[in-house]
Amino acid sequence: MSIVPLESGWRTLNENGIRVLEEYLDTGKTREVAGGSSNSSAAAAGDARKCAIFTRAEYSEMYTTVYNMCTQRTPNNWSEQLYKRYGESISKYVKEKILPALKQREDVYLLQELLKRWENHKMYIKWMDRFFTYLDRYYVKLQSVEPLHQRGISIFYQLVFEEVKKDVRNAILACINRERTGDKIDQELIKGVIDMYIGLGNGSLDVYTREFEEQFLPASQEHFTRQSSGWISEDSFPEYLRKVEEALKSEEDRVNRYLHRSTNVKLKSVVIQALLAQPQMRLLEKETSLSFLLSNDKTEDMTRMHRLFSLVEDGLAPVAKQFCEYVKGRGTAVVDEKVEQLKNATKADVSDPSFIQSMLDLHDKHKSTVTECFGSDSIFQKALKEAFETFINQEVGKYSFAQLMSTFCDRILRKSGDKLSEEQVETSLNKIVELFSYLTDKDLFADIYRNQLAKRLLYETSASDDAERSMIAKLKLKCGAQFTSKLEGMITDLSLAAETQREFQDHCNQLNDKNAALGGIDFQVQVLTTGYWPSYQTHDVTLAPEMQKAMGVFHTFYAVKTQHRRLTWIHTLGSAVVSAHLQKRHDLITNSYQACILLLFKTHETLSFEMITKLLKIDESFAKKLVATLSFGKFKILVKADPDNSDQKSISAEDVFKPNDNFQCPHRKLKIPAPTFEETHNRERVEEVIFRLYKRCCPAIVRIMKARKTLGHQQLVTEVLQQLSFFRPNPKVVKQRIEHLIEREYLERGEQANQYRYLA
Amino acid sequence: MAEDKPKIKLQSQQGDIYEADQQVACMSTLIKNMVEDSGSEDAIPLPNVKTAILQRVLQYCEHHKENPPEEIAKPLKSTNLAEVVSEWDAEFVNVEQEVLFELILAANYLDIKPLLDLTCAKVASMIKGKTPEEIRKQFNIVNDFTPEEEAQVREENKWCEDA
Repeated sequence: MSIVPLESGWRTLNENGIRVLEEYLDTGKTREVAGGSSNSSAAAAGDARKCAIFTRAEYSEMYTTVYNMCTQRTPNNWSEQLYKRYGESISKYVKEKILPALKQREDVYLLQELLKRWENHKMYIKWMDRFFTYLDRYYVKLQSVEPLHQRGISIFYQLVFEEVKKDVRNAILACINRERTGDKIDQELIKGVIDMYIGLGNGSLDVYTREFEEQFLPASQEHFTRQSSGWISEDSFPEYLRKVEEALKSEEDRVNRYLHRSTNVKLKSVVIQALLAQPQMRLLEKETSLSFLLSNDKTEDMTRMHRLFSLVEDGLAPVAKQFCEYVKGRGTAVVDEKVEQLKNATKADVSDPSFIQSMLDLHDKHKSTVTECFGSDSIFQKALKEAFETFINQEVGKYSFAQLMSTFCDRILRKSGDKLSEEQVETSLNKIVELFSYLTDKDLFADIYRNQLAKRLLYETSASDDAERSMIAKLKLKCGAQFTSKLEGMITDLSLAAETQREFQDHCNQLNDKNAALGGIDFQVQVLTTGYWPSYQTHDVTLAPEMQKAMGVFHTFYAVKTQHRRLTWIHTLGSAVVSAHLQKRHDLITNSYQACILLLFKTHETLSFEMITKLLKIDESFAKKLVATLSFGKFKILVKADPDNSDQKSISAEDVFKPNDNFQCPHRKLKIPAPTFEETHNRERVEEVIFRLYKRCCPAIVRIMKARKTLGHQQLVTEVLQQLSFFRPNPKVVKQRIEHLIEREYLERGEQANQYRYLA
Repeated sequence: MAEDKPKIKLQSQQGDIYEADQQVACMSTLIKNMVEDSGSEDAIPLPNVKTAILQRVLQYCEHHKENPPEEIAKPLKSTNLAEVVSEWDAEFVNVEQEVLFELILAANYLDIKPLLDLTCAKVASMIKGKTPEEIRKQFNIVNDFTPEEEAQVREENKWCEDA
């Protein structure tokens, strides 16, 4: 085979290949067609024409020429020269044809021309690449030079792109800006130019990022900052957010339609920054902001607000804070109103459920806002909790929330309360327990609740055993088994007591002379465990002999049944049915003490008050209360014997009483009201409970110090408060208790200030 | 389906035209590119490939159209090529040196990498384990080194013998 000299080989390549190609790019026609066979066949060739710039024979000629020139032995190997001329040809074309074509153009026309030239250039280098491809296989690899394709792109980058990039970028940004303000633009054109940026990166996004995105993002930032300040002064809060949502959407669409997808996240964050994060405080201060939405139940707007601000880093915190403040405000208003009402009311009724009901409604409403609008976001749950905790631990006049809530439960659980279906009771209890969980003084609630439960159980006024158990189970779930152990004990006690009573009944039936043994009375006993129940006041009294007999029988029975158990009789809780023959026969349902007084008149026609106290060995002031219930109350069973002062409602030692023979009442059964033994939970009682709770600090302090040996003051107080989870004493109180323990030499002060040491 | 696509016409140096399935012909990257880029159905002139060699190349491509050959492990494990490549491939390059070299050139020209690998492996197996004298004899090469030059080359490539 003959050697191909450089110049003759190059002539072949240049004339039959490169020039044909350039001609095609300039005119859109191939040589043959331009030479004009027939116009119709050119048109018929259609799309195929683009592929048919070169015939296979021409293509083969180009390739073979290059192949031969590159495979000849030195000194006739022209690889290096061909590689050089490859670049020179492209550069020449670019300089002579492309640059002048771009020179006088700007804006959209510049983009259009550039895009056209870029598409041409890609075709140009594709063919050049094909012809010279043999260089890529060996020369490029051995010499470590740019591969042909990349070399072609680099030339375009250096000669064209570097020249026009500023204008091009500004033109794109201007287009995007026009589109943002509502104009229609040629999106395909922008997409084409953006693809050029990506193509120029030759596999990496560097060019796109550096030459486009880095300018585009700040420009967007500026645009939206401007938008923001316009909207913020013209639009309402919800309207503003709607616009933000639209903007986010249209920017996302923009990226999808003609930018690179990697821009999406960055652009989104720019928009969020400009429209949400920066103006957030000013937005939230608008009158139409969160409180407005909450007050008007704008759930859709609130959902949107949550969705948008969750996009902002830490963006929900200020919203949650506002939410908290709002709820706090609403709650405090309800509390204040109640306090005001209590101040003006002459007779305050602790059992009025409307206040707690309005608290439950308030909670319901905002809890559902948290679930429905704020996606149960924990930060809002916390805000709700914080808000409720502030006002729910306030005093409501002379009442505490614990007391009001417990009383509310009492109302639900009592027979005489509202008639509620099982589900209603259950729902109410669930809600109240939620409210309860915000209470700091949970122990105070427990204490009051226990008293009320005791009443319901002992006076059999509880509406449903199941409901009682259900409530206790709920409290247990919230606060643990220890918290409810007494309440559970009480319920258990009651069923045990019923059993004991049955056994006692059997026991009595087996006695020889049952009637005589029991002093001729029906006798029932409920045995309760001391620790579970509230402590009750008792008064010493000499019981009627019948009663004493009956109790004796029970003592014997119980001593056999159990070991080492001591019985204490709580007459305060006892009741008796005394039959009285006045005008006619009446069955008087009385308290045990009242019964004792009445039974005295079995053997005495009249008795002075002094005698009554003496016979019964009973405390005088207590006796006064008892006698008052029998003679000044609704049913006047006893009257003063001296008719002159019978109207006076005072009792002195000399006053003589006798059964009221003129007593008239259509009913046979009468319930005589018992004196109030324990004051319902008034302030003193509550304080007493609190004091008892405070004493619990001491064991906690000792426990902690025993483990830690030495500890700073602040740290100790913190840990004590942590341990006492169901009530929160004032830190001052803790300090008092610490000092108390120092006095008692459990602790001593450390060498450093504010430090304590445990003394074993 | 191979039948659906038009057959590719290939024209040898001497002007003989062979038809091949597109799939077979396109094992050559060169032909593949040409088929993709030029729409006509003209014969593809291959002025660098003689008829006899083109026949052989097509035979190779036909054989491998359904089962592309495996990459040949380098360095060669054995001087016996049959232990390195398939039996068919080993037999395929078991030809006169003249033909083998023509095949190498054709494979390079047509850009058929597996064939280029195979033919080069064949040459390598002929060199492997031989002394320079033996290699010269094998390929009919005249030693044109002066004794001094030879000593110097040996010195420079000492590492190679140690290895």
